[in-house]
Amino acid sequence: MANILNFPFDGVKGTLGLNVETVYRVDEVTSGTNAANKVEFFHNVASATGTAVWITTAEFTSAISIAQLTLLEKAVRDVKQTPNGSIDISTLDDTLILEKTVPFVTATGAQPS
Amino acid sequence: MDNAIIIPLSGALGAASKTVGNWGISEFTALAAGVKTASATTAALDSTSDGDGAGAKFVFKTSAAATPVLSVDTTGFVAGAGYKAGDIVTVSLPTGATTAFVQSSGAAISVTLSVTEAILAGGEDNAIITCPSGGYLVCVEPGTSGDSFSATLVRQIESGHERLWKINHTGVGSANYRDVALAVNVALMQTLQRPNSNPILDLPSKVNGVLVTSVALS
Repeated sequence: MANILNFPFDGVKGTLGLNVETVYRVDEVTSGTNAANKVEFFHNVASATGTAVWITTAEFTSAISIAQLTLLEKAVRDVKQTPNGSIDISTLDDTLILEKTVPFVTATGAQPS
Repeated sequence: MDNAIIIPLSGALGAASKTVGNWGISEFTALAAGVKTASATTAALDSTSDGDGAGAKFVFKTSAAATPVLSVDTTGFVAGAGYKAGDIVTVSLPTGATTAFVQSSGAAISVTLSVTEAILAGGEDNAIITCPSGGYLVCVEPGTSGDSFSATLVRQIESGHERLWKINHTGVGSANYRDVALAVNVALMQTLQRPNSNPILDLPSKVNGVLVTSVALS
């Protein structure tokens, strides 16, 4: 059953949802273009042999603080407690707005240490 | 039980409509060899349809052989919209004495295309995005300038592999790509969260002119 986080989308009235039904970890991004604005959601779905998993990287319009990262981690835990639950992130923090060009990227990646 | 997104397609004609073997060209074939113009290329010719489809245009050309062979040029093609399997599309090949005309019989002749699902750009009237049995749909990824906003993506992950549902469309640009993404997102969220739901993708009036030509799982 899908558990959804709904994020405001920059420049338009509406949200884009991210299915976090198997997400087990939320991390900051430490390198690369606009790294400070990005958050990684780790899906508990194997992406290859070994321990690699699918990771969705969300990019926001401004840098993500530790408090916001913690808020997102809690939102993932909370939304997974309700079957088919969803949370509008704007009700928790209205500054967490998805960047308009490439808001989500999903790719294989190594599990964090 | 099944959850799926139903996506009405525009009914554009696809690549198979540019294969002359799919056309009825008996009127051209029956012409005397002397009135078949070698190495000719027509202008983009309008078509008519016995159905609701409209707008398709085709360029026809002939080979340089002594008895020229007719083909459909890949350039100048306009896919049109609103076609359905069973429609008959007709193009009139005008007559003329220069290489802008494929025949000089003195009268226009007709060639016809019987539209089948294989000839439609999306292969059918509606496309369906389903939830995978061994994984799940993750999110909508809007079109990007890098691909001229030609597609909106729905990301799917499964163990060991990833899939992209690619919703190919026309009429999307920098001014409306986010509105299209939001519309796809509405349908995606509904199908993810309502048991046995089959929402139909509804593009809002603010994205009038956007047509979904095909959906591919890559």
